[in-house]
Amino acid sequence: MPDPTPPLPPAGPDEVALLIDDRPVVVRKGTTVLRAAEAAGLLIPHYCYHPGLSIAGNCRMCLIEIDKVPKLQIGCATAATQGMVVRTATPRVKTAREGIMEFLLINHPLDCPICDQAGECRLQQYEAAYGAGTSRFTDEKVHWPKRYDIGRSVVFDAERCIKCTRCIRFCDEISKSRELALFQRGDHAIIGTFPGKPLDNPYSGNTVDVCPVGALTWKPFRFKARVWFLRDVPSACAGCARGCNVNLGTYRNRVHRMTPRANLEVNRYWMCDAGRQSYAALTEQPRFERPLARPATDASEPIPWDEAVERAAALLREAVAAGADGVAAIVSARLSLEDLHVTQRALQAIGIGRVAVAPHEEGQDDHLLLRRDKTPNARGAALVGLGAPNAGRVKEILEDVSSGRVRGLLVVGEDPIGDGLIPASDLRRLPALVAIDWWKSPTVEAAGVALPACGYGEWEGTLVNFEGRAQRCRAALKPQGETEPVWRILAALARPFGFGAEYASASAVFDEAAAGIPALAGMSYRSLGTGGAKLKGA
Amino acid sequence: MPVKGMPVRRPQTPGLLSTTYLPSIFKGMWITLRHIFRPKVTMQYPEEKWTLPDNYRGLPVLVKDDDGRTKCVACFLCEYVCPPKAITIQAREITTGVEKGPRTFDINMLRCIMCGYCEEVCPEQAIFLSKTYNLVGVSREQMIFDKEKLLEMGGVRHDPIRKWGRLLDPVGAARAAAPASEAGR
Ligand code: SF4
Ligand code: SF4
Ligand code: SF4
Ligand code: SF4
Ligand code: FES
Repeated sequence: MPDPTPPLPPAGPDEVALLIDDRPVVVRKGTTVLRAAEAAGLLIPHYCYHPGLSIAGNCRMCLIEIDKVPKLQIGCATAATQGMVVRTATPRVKTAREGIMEFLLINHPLDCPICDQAGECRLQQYEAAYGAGTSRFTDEKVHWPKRYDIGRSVVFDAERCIKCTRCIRFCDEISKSRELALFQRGDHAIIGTFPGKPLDNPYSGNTVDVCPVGALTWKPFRFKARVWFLRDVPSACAGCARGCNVNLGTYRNRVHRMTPRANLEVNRYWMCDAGRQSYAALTEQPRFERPLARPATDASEPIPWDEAVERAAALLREAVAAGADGVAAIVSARLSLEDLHVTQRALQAIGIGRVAVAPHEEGQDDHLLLRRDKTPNARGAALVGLGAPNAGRVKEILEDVSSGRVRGLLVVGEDPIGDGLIPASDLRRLPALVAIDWWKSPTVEAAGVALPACGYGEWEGTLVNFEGRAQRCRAALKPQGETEPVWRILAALARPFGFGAEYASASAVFDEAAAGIPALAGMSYRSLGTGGAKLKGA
Repeated sequence: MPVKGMPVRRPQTPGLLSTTYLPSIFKGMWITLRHIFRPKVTMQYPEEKWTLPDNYRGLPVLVKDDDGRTKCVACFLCEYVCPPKAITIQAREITTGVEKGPRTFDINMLRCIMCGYCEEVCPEQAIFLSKTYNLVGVSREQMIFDKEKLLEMGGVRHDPIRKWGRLLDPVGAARAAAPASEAGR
C-alpha cells in the first residue's frame, strides 16, 4: 500500500513541484534539489557546493534518495523535476553520509586545538550531526605538507584539505587569476600553485572563506582569536565606493577579522583583501584620545573637551570675522552620511561658505568589486549638499592657504599634509587651523586645535555606495579614550554660532537627513536593515 | 494574589528544671568527658600535614612533556570553559613543530575555584590540578600566576602518547615543510 503522501501543489509554467521529505515545494525549473530543499527549510549537508561557484559534485556529502531512482544521487547537481519524491534522511542516505565522513576523516589530522577553523568547521559540524562518532582506523595516517606558505596572505595545510576544489573554482571563476590547481590523482591528489606563481590576487582571502575546513588560513588572523569568542557585527566596508557588506569579528573590544557578508546586490559572497585588512589601521595608526591644542609652543598638548571646543570656536569666529572668503573647510568623503549632514549644517551656522570634498582615487575599477574611487561615501557628500569630491577645489583652497588669502581652515577627516598636497610649514603658519580626525595625522599635529573622532568600527553611520545604495555601518567597538563621533563634534563646535539642533544618536541624525533629502525619503535605520536600500531614483 | 500564612507550632513553655539549664550543662560535660578517652583527631598543622587523596583538586598548573615542550597549544578551551573566567591566554605562532603555543598564560588564582574543568576539557593534557592548596601572597597581582610560574609548578608529565611527535622529529618536520607541488609522495 503506498504511503499517504501530501498532494503536490500546483506549479506555474516555469516551475516544478516536488516533495522533499514529504514537504511540498515549488521551485523554478532547473533548480537543484539541494536549493529546493533549502527553500523548503531543509539542510542537505554539503562541502563542495557553494552558491557563488560552479557545481563540482565531488564531495558526495549531499547524497539523497529519489523515488524510482535505484542509486543515491547528489543533491547539489540533480535538477528538481515535476513530481519528484526526494528523501534526505533514509537509512541508506544516513549510511552513505557516515561512510563519506569516515573516508574524509581517515587521514585527517587531529589538529582542531591548533586549527583556526575549529568552531566553524564543516567537518566538525557534520561529524557531530551525521558521522559515526568513532574511528575504526588504526594505521598511521598519510602525511602531507603542513603550514605551507601558499601565497601573500594565505597558509595551506594539505593534511586538513578535503579536496572539495572550492578554492580552485574561486580562483578560476571569480578572481579569474587561476593560481590554484589540483595536482596528482586519486589519494595522491593535492592542492597547489604553479612554480613561481603564488596565490596572490586582490581577492585571495575569499579562498579562506570558501574553504569549508581549516586547510586555508588567513595569515593576519592566524591564532589571533578562536572564532567562538568573536561577535560578528554586520557592517559595510569603507575601503572603496563599493561598500561590500561585511561582518566585523570583535573580541575584547578589538576587531580581529573582517569577513564578507553575502549581499547579492552588492558584493555577492566576496570582498577584496585590502578591505579585509582595513580594520588594522585602527590599531596600527597612532591615535589621540583627548583634544589637542598647539598654542604658541610647538608641541601640542591634551586639553579637556569643553576648553578645546571653546578654543576652536574662538579661532573660527576670529577668522570668519576677518572676512567670509578668508575661511574654508576641507571635508572627507570617508565620513558617514550622518557626519556629512551635520557638517553641512554646522558649516552654514559657522559661516564657512567655501567647502571642498577631497577625492581619493587609485587604480582602476576592476572586473569584480574594487573601485577606483576609494571614498566610500562620495554619493553621500553630494546628497547632503557638500558637493561631489573635487580635486580642483581642494587645490584652490590649499593654494589660497599658502598665499595667505585663507586665514582659517577647518579640516574634517582629511590629511592634506600627509597626502602631499601642501607643505606642513604652510599649514602651521595658518592663524586658525582646526582639525577633526580619528588618528594623529600630520595635519592634526599642525592644527591649532585638534578634536579626536571615532574611527571606523567605533562609529555608527550610513554610507552611500557608488550605485546609490545606503548601507549601515554598525558600531562594533567602544570608542577609544574620549573620542566622539564627528557629527557630535561638529554640532558642539557650531553651537556657539547659534546651531540649535541636538541629536540623541546617529539614528536621529539620519532621520533628520532623510526628512530633508528627497532621495532618502521614508528611510530609517530600521528600513535599511542589514542589506541596505537603494536611494529613490538611483 | 494575597499570600496565605501557615500556622506554626510554637515550643511549649519549658519546665522548671530546664529553666535552671542544669540538664543541658551536664549533658555537654558528659560529651566532653567521653571524648577524653577516644583517639585524638586534631592535626598539628603546619608541622603535621594531611596526606591528600589522589583525586584532590588543588591549584591548576601547566606541564611539559618528556621532550621539554610546553604541552599547551593555546586552544583556548580551558579559557572558554572556566566558570569564573580565571584563565587568560594569548596565542602565538611558532615556526617549527607544533604551529601554535601560548604567548602568555595567566591564571588568576583568586578567581579559580579548583573545579577541574580545565583539566577535563584540555585536549592536550597540558593542564592539571596539582595538590598545592596553600596559596599565599601579599597583593592581588601576586595571585595571578603566569606561564613560567605555572610550568615551574607543573614540571614534566610523562606521557606515552606523542601526538605531535612527527612534527617534532627532524625528518617529519622537513617533510611537512615541503612545497605542495613537490610533495607528490
Ligand atoms: S579542519 Fe576542522 S576537523 Fe580538521 S583540524 Fe581543522 S577544525 Fe579540526
Ligand atoms: S583547500 Fe579547502 S577549499 Fe581548497 S580544496 Fe582543500 S578543503 Fe577545499
Ligand atoms: S580549576 Fe576551574 S576555575 Fe580553576 S582555572 Fe581550571 S576551570 Fe578555571
Ligand atoms: S585546554 Fe589545554 S591546550 Fe588548550 S589552552 Fe588550556 S591548557 Fe592549553
Ligand atoms: S555538495 Fe554535492 S557533491 Fe559536494
